[in-house]
Amino acid sequence: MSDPLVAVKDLEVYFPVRSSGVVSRHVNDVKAVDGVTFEINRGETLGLVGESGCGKTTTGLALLRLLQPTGGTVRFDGLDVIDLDRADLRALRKRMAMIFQDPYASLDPRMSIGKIVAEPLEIHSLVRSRADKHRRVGDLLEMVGLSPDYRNRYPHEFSGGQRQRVGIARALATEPDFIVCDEPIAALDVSIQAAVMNLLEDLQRDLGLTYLFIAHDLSAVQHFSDRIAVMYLGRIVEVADRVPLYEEPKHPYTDALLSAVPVPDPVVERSRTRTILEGDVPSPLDPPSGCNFHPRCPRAFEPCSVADPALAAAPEHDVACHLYD
Amino acid sequence: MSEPILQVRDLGVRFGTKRGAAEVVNGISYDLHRGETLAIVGESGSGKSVGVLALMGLLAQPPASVSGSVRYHGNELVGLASKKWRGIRGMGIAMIFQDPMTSLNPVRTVGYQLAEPMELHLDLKGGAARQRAVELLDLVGIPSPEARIDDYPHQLSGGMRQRVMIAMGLACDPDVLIADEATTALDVTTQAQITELVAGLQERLGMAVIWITHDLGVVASIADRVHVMYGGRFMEQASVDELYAAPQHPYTEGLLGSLPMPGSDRPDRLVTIPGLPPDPVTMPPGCPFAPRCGYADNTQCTAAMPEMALMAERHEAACYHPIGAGHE
Repeated sequence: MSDPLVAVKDLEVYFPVRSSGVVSRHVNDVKAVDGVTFEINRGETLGLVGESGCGKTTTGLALLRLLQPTGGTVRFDGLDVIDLDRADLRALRKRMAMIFQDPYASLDPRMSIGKIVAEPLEIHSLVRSRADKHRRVGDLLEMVGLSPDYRNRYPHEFSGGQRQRVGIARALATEPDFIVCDEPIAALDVSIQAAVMNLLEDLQRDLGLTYLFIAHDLSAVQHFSDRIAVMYLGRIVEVADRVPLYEEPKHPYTDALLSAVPVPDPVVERSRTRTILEGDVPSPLDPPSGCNFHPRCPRAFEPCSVADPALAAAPEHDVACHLYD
Repeated sequence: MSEPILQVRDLGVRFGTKRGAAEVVNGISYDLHRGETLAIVGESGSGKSVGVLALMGLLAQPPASVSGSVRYHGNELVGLASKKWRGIRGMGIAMIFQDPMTSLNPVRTVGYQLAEPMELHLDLKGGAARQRAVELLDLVGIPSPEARIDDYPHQLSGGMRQRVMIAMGLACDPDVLIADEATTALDVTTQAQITELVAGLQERLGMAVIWITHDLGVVASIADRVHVMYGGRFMEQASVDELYAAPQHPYTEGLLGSLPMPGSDRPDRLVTIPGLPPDPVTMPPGCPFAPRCGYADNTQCTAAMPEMALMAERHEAACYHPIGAGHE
């Protein structure tokens, strides 16, 4: 097996909390990402799932160094992303891109979509002439299923699904190897979601892209990913290939998450037993002791409140839970 | 069968816009019986929310104009004077809104907001209203309700706020509860908590629930009957089992095919529905789905909207080329 394209080790992103008042002191940290380790192989899609506030978007931003991590390492194709200086980082950013969640907020309403898609080309000096740029923008729009004639239109003239296509075209402009897709379909209608997912799949096949697919919707992640990492309160609790994760989830949280996903089949719905989690995700300001899932865990026992389980690297199926010690 | 609590007949909502009249809801009819859960499924812009806002008398007229009839225990609600609404809205029919982040008042405590409808409708004052508010918070599963009652909405999580919304809906013992995308803004785990909660309350209190959603997964887990809405019209209506087992309308078939199924056997590609939902101002003549439909012909489908026709027992679809009739 070749080297992974992206290797994340012990990634930490802490946001400091300061006391109010004249002299602000550093009183605490919000541990948004707290020791996350995973690898993404070339051409693979790693799904990252978890509830809102679990740190999945922060992880994605830190991978691209759109946020400065407070600890850990991120290696992209052998390069240390965290320690790069500005010039090198810029060169590297050409090879990574991000598709954002909200296609309404992530496109500048005052730029035509042609300009939006051309911007990364200009920033990275990837086009030599106006004619070159015109051709390239046309190609990109075509690649995502939009007519090149739309280039002079503005975002408000497009539907959500079309806007998301513009966002995808922008991400593809620099011919990246790696794209972080942060909830790319969450804001779209059901019938449009399928089209965007199919597009992302086609692009991956044709261009050999590697994806980190962030979502809270486990059925979409399952459809889309090769491997899936489950995140809870800043940590990864389980990583496995999509089939074993679905058929034999090991971590009680994964099990609960799977059971919460409604199945679009009333017969199945009636026959299955659901594990309904009690309560809410605890505050990352004051995470519980030991395993931070233990207050909600239906299978918690003595060691859970004391020791924090490590992500045990079993072959093909890693899990961080005392049940498997 | 007993008299339905709610009888909606030919309900229509039209908005006057600068570009012309927008027919947002177009002749929808349904009955709601005691204890029943009815789901109205549709994508954004299909008119599903406007349809229930019209039913609740919450649309300002103008710009909206509401036609048709809504009978609640036999009393006509369309055109009812606003004074008379007081005894019905909140009392008989209550609504849970989509976004629990924006539908609570940020500068009032949860207790104040819960007590307000009880003071208005039930004439409960001070301590009595507070007592009932605590009971309601307990009923919807909020831990330590005596302490939580003095919290402001920002002190609660999304799931807790939605529980407060439900408690507000239940404050005056309505017999109809309308949940408009009540779980859409929530995480799947919280969504499961809320759907379970509403189902449990429904069983205990015998309410009828209208569940408005775009999520066919949620519908499968909670509904008795389903109405599929598109372009302001009902396209198909059936029991939940019938609908998923044998969808008749091409739109329903497309919606079901476009869902990624949780499971290990994954289809290579999802079915997509080409094109975009129609613009209510320039609604195509005939069936609104015809321009996106793989089975549409150039004669009937584009000429006139098909009538709702019986496909199987208690299963109706409005289509000239239903799936069951066999294609190809």
